[in-house]
Amino acid sequence: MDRLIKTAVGLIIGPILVFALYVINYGHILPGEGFDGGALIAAVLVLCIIVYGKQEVRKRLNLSIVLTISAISGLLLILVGLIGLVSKGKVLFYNFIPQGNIHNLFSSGIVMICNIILGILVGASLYLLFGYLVIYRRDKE
Amino acid sequence: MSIFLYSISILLMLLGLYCIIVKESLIKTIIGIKIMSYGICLFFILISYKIGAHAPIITENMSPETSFVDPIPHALMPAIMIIGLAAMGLMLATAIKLYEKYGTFDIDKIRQLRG
Repeated sequence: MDRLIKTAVGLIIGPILVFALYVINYGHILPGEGFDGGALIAAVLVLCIIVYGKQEVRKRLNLSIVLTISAISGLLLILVGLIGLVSKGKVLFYNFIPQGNIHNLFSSGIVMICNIILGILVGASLYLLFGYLVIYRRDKE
Repeated sequence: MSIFLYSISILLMLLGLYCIIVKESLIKTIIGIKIMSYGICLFFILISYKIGAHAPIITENMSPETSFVDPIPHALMPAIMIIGLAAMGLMLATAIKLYEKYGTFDIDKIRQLRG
């Protein structure tokens, strides 16, 4: 791509990532949650593939590592639910962390943990969808 | 006043439709689809707006007779944007594969599809 586009994208990536972390961490107070923040992270990665080329991104962020991250975060989400099942509530996704005061950031128990895990899961999965569609190549006959 | 604002969002949607129909580059077609989607999002956000109302977030020292804007479109539009993002990823991946095969983004030149 053009050098102008590369410089502009390099400047804009940081603010988008900060906004994605803001959406994920404030998911229980403001509109948007882990799903939306994860989609923002995936949008940044897709932008990197389009602008910097797929070889460059593939060298820094291998697809098998992203697949491992996605699988591990999915298992962590199930684990959080199972901890609620074996705690004193006996319900799946029971809130085993004490709730804070109502207007604070830490006021939601396990909802914030689930939001963070869900953000990583959605970001990795959407990046994998785009990456496999672009990088996959049919064998020459 | 509200009719004027609604007509702006409908104009944005029609601009995206024009971009889809007329332009020949695949990237510009994808940009047109996104402009149409944002026109629809703007229309729903304008429907929920109420003059002199607050954002639908409960904060401290707020009186009980405070009026809120409608929160349902605010909760629905991020979902539409995310689904639009996934669809845009699919479209861009298809466009990149077509560019690798034919060497151009022009729709008229990649018409001769062979199996």
